[in-house]
Amino acid sequence: MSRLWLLNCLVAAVIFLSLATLKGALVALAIPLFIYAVSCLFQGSPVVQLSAVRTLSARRVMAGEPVVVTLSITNQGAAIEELQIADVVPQSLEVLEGQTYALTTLLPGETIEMEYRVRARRGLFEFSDIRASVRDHLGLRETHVVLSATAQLLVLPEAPRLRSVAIRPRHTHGFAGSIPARQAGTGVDFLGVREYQPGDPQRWINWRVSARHAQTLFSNQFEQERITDVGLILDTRQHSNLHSNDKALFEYAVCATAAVAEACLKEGHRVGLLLYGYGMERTFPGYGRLQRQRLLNALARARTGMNYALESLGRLPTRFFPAQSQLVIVSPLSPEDVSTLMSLRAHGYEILVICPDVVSFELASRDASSHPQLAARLARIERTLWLRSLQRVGIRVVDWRVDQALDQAIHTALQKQPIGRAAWERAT
Amino acid sequence: MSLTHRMRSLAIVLATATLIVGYGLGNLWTWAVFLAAAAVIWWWALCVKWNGVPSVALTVYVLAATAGCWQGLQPILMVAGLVAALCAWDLDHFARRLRNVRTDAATCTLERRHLERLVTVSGLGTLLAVISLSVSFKVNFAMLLILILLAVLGLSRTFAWLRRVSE
Repeated sequence: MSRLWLLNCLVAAVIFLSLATLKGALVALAIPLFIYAVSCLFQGSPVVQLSAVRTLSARRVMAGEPVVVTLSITNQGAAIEELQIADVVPQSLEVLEGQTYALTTLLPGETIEMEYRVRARRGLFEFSDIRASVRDHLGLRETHVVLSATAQLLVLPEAPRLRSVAIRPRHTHGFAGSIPARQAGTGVDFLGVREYQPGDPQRWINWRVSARHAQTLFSNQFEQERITDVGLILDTRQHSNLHSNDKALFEYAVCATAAVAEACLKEGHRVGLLLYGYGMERTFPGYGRLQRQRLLNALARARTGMNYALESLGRLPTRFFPAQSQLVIVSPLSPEDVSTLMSLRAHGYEILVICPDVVSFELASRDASSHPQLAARLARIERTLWLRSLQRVGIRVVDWRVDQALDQAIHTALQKQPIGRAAWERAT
Repeated sequence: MSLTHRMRSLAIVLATATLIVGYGLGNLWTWAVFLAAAAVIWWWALCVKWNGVPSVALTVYVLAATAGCWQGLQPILMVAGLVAALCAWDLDHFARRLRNVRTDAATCTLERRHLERLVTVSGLGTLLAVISLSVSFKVNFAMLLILILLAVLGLSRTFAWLRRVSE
């Protein structure tokens, strides 16, 4: 019930009681209420003309960095006796300092400034409208105004620093990089010996082999090191995300993807990204700082969702990635995904799976006493079994407990699953 | 505690005390105790921030003042109690609007202007009520009927207009 309506009812009730009881004194009681109710008539009807400008101290920030939001509201109409301003702050933005609500008077042409600091983890945040209410001093007449002051804030995901990620796909590019290309050329690692050709540096001559032949000289060959294509695939399917307390498993997956992207770009590789699950959002492969920004922008916008067409990895568009290139899949996976990954491997892709550990993430949010011990054990065994079946076909798997540093998890896991010559040496 | 909060507390005490004295002078102590209980409930509602209670409390105080006048108690005290209850109700609403606002110069100005307006309105209301209490005239039945019709018409038109304006 509005305040004015309550007053109206009380005035009417008192006056009718006075008439019904023929008590003149009762009319006197209605007078203060009536005067209060009609006091708002003495002010003219307010024509609200407000303009608002919103400025952000930065439009793109890293996760956790504070941003100062400044609102300037100018009165372009008549004087406003009481102005209440409430800014609508997007959900999951944390207000650190300052106020998003103000109550003030505003003279014609006067400007009020509000300032507050916000912080967020990751995502695209859209500031939309400012709600303003204009009232008379007694608050009886109220006019609501919505002021448009839009702005966007992009909070990029945190990318933990990684040492180089040991990858070795069959397909490489022509430019010098860090991946052994299985081709002779300028390099560091010994590849083989061939007959000396004019122009070969003298220090390349293999004297031991040459000594065994009377008339022929032999030179060492070195393995070329080149850059390669890295295709990052981030699983954005609804069921790949788990929430426990205020943490989400998907946020860890996003950070891991950002970290791998940064490490690969640093080594000069051409990196592309596919967000698969809620839809299919692709960032074309590229190099360098600009590509880093593109990838971080895409990861900042990433969110999980339900898409019945993309419930399994079976519809993964392999044409997005060059044949025999390196794929890095960041996903908690499910048993149904195993066959798809095996099929990708059979097509010649080198696959590295970074698999956040769902079971330990779930258990971390529960009390030790309330653990369903047997169920957790069974889930762990099942998970280990299908991760091993992936490893058996040559897919390298990083089983990542999210409370562990990603760099440490990757290096520990990849040391146990060597590639190339190291794998061959280990096998023989 | 801000000026608004102090004035609100003072208004509640004043409203309750005035009405209790009025009822006490008429030897209606049961009603006086009931009013004291209403004041305690109003106070408690302010502490726990129940927003609906002040409107109910104002209604109770207006009805108490009306019942007092009807019983033939001191009308001046009833008017004073009603005006104080009205001020308390208004200040409670204003305090709620101020709740989330950082106190600065602009807010102090706003608070001062609100109190000025409230004092003016309630002072004028009290003055007119006291004048109306000192004026008495007799009317016949036909005149009374016309007055009732005029009151119905006038009030309904005024309230309809106020509601339209407030929306």
